[in-house]
Amino acid sequence: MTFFLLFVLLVGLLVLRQPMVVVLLVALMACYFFWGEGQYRFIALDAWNALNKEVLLSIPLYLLAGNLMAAGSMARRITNFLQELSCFVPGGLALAAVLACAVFAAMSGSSTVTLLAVGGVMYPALMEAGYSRSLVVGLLCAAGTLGIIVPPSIPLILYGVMTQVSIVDLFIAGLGPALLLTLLMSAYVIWRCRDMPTRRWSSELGRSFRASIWALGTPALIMGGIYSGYFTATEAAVVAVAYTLLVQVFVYREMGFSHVVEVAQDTSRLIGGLFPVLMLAVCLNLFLTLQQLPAEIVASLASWLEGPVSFLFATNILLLLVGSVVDIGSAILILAPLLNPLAANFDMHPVHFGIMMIVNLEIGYLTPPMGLNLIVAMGAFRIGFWDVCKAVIPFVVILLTGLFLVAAVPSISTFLI
Amino acid sequence: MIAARRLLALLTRLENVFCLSGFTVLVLVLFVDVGMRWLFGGGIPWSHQVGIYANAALALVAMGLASSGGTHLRPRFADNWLPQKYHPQLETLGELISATVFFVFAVFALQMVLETHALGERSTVTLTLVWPIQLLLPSVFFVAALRHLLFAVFPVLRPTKNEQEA
Repeated sequence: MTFFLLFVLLVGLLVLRQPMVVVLLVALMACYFFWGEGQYRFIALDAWNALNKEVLLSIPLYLLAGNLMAAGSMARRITNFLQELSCFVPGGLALAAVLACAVFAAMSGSSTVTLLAVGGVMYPALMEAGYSRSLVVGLLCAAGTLGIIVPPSIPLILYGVMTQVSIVDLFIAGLGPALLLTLLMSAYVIWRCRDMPTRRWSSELGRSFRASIWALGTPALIMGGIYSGYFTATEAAVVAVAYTLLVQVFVYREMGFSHVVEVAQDTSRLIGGLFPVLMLAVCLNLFLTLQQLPAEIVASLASWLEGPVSFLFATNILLLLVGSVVDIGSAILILAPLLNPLAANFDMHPVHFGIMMIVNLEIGYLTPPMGLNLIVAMGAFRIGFWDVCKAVIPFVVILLTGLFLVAAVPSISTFLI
Repeated sequence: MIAARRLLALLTRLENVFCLSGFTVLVLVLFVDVGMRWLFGGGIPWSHQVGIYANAALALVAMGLASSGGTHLRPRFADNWLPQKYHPQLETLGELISATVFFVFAVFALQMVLETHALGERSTVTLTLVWPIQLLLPSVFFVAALRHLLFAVFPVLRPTKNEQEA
């Protein structure tokens, strides 16, 4: 009965359009009222301890680096180079869009930033080149989601924070699935555009490479530093910020002090939305762990689920449903600590499970009613919501295929760790 | 209402300056640490603790910017479960609920800070007292309560786009 009342209360808050931070605060207060002997100040203590963690330092830095990159011409330079590089393939321009999203995702760590930055450059170019609008919108929306699986990725950091899994291991493990998804999307695009004209490489390739070499240095610096073990995730983030500032202000000379301040303020607003939710989700997780709720869920579900296959099936269905109505950050913060022990019970590697979870929730960016990339694309490309939904259907099928492979073959994620 | 508008504008300006300073400290202290390790083989021992404090301060104060800019994370699937004609009243009720919840949490946070103050707790790395930085926690929630109360009383002051999903 108490659980039911709590559920009704929380749904009521959502109907009243309360932000996640209020919903979580009420949930925590209710938990402490019913099961925590009213020691409410512990919520504040846990909240402070949640913020007082070194592992969180990389999140604002990657967000800042991504926004700094999106503010200048880095995306356009990379896109121009990839466009020249892939011109000999049928549908080379569309392929360049997929690859540009993958490369930019490795720099920005954010799906929306990737969609807006690359889409802003590629959408007019693709339309002008005669590609179908449906393919263009679908591919930009779908390739934009690579931002959350290509390392560095904010959702991977959130998963690491909530489950105590190494963030560097998650970054390394994200590479295989990211390559797989990029490959699947590229293959589909080439097949769809097999009748499009091609041309040979020209001197423009060298020129575009020279123009983009500083921009291409960012993913090389981040990924190279992390994969070689030279940087931790946090150090790579601060180096990315410093390098991007250097390139944007002194090399490309596209940003002045006031522009940098503006970007920092925009980033602060994003942080102000994300961090209080993260802080309170950690508190809720601590409370539930103290009450041994995850262990009880594991015990009850383990007897109901017959084995790893049924667990994978049930988990993926649950995550697909959740991903279509809740934003990825909230989904990870609430579900990761509950599902991770269950995965461990079925002998799933925590890194593999984390990657599968992120790939699954990535699909939520493309599924109505709340798919964020659908909404962003609707505004950015001035197209109706249902037209965007129809355009992404083939890419959702591709991502589901990728999810199936990532779930079924753990080595796609774990072969490098 | 003019006074409320001015107060909110002042708060937002202060929060912007504070967040910018937080970002500057965070980036500088960590970058200098990485640079010194690269150049001299050893970094600054207290850099990460200072970075953590700068990050915590930035994250907390930025909550005010998220409120004023309408960028709080918010699931929207239940937005239209109630008839459209009641939405203005529901939004006012929502702002009052937000204000109350933030105020109550601010009181709990203040209790926690008073306890830390009484214990004289210090950081193990920088050896500084912890309570002055912890004081940000109740402060930002008191300010958030005030902001949402003003949004409830003066609907015209609410951010135009009331939410965003990240």
